Amino acid sequence: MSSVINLLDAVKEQEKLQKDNLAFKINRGNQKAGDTLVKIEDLVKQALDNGNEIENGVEKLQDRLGGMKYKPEHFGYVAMIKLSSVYSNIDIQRIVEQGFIGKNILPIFDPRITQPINVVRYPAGALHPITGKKLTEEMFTAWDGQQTSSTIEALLMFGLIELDGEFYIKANVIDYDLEVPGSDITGEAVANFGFRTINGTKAKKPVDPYYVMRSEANGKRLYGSTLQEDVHSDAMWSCMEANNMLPAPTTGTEKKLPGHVAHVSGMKSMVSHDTENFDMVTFEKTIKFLSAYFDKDNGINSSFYMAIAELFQNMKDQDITVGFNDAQFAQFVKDKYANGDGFSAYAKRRLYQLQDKLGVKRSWTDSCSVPYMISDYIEYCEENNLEQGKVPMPPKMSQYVNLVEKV
Amino acid sequence: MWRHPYSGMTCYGISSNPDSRIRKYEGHNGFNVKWDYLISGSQEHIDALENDLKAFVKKLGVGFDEYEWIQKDVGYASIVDTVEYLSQGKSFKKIISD
Repeated sequence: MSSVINLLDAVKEQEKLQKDNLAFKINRGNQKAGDTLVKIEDLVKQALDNGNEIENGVEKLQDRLGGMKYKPEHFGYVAMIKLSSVYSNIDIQRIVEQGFIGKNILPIFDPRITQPINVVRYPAGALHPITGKKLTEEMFTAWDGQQTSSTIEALLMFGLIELDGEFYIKANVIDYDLEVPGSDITGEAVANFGFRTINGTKAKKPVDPYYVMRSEANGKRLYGSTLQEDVHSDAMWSCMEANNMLPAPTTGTEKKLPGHVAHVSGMKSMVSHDTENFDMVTFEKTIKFLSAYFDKDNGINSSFYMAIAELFQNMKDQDITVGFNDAQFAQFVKDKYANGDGFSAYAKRRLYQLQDKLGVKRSWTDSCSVPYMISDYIEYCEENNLEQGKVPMPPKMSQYVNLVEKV
Repeated sequence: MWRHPYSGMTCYGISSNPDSRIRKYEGHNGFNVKWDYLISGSQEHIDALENDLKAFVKKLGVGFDEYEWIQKDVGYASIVDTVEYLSQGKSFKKIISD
């Protein structure tokens, strides 16, 4: 006979475990984390233990290869090649992204963080890929790395690279006639396919904002970085830790655990991260409020985070420094919406009803959140004979709370 | 909530019309069904309670498949205790709480 499970005991144990895990992660920080260097082989073994997607993908590739196998030479090779011998295939590559190079690459340029450009090699004697004429000297056509090579060229032009002779650039090279199993294309056709494959979403999964923020915060706390983006992220991360909260990735289960905020891009945008308007005071008020009153929620969802962050931003904009009853406001949120998820579902329903009445397409916007909260809070205080205290008047109140709702 | 008299499992769920829902249960089972535990509240509070309960049932692996059923090994009284524990701070009106 199986033993009877006491669900309440198990639930409380689970809650304690979650709390301990959060405390462990916060106390451990990132400085004492051991085993941070893991062999690729072990990472893959771990991934294979956790799912079968890789295995399924390998099976598909095996089918395409029809029994053939790759050899090391099929992967091309890495070499230092003369920058002057590199031609951009402008039918394949983008234009030079002047703004991106000027604003994103150059201000934080570091020569060690340049990736090899991807090129096809045409030796002397081969046919020119466009004109078909026999080449008298070696040339390379570049199909990826345009912004890298253009940046280096600009640095050379402006004399920022001391040079004696030719500049040799790192390159990932494939020969124009290299054939590989499972494919019937060579040369510029590979370049054309490679450009969209390596730059598209099929091959490159965008990095979750959480990992970027973690890298920035670690830049400051582990490696003494003084970069503004690192200093700001470390301040935010530390503020969250001090309030028993942590950022979380947008995918996975962590974001649904108490004390976690997965809306890293929202947090950064509200705090004016990496700008001169960086505002830790309002950020800290937001985090303190969420930590004090919503620490048992299954994570703080994006729209609820934005609502509370905008509430405190509105208070700052309207110079409300005292008189806001945060405990009463939190109790109102719990009484009216149950929790953050309840508020988000409620706000979405209410907004969609309004949009239906106005005959416009349904679409979510965070702008409705504070107007709904404030309007409901005023009603709540009236119904319960409570002192309302000071509350901000959201600038877009009349757009979302108006007579049309009651038609 | 309702505890199945033969399987011993407990089902839970949300309905805006419990009378209609119970008739469906009777139709599926072929015998009279009476709620063991029934509460009412705002949509936000009811949704929050169900989400919390569902999350723990999933984490603890005590559900039946992906359905809103809790395995028979879980003591019914402790399920009620859990619901009341998770209801703390929320406003519900008890209708049946045997």
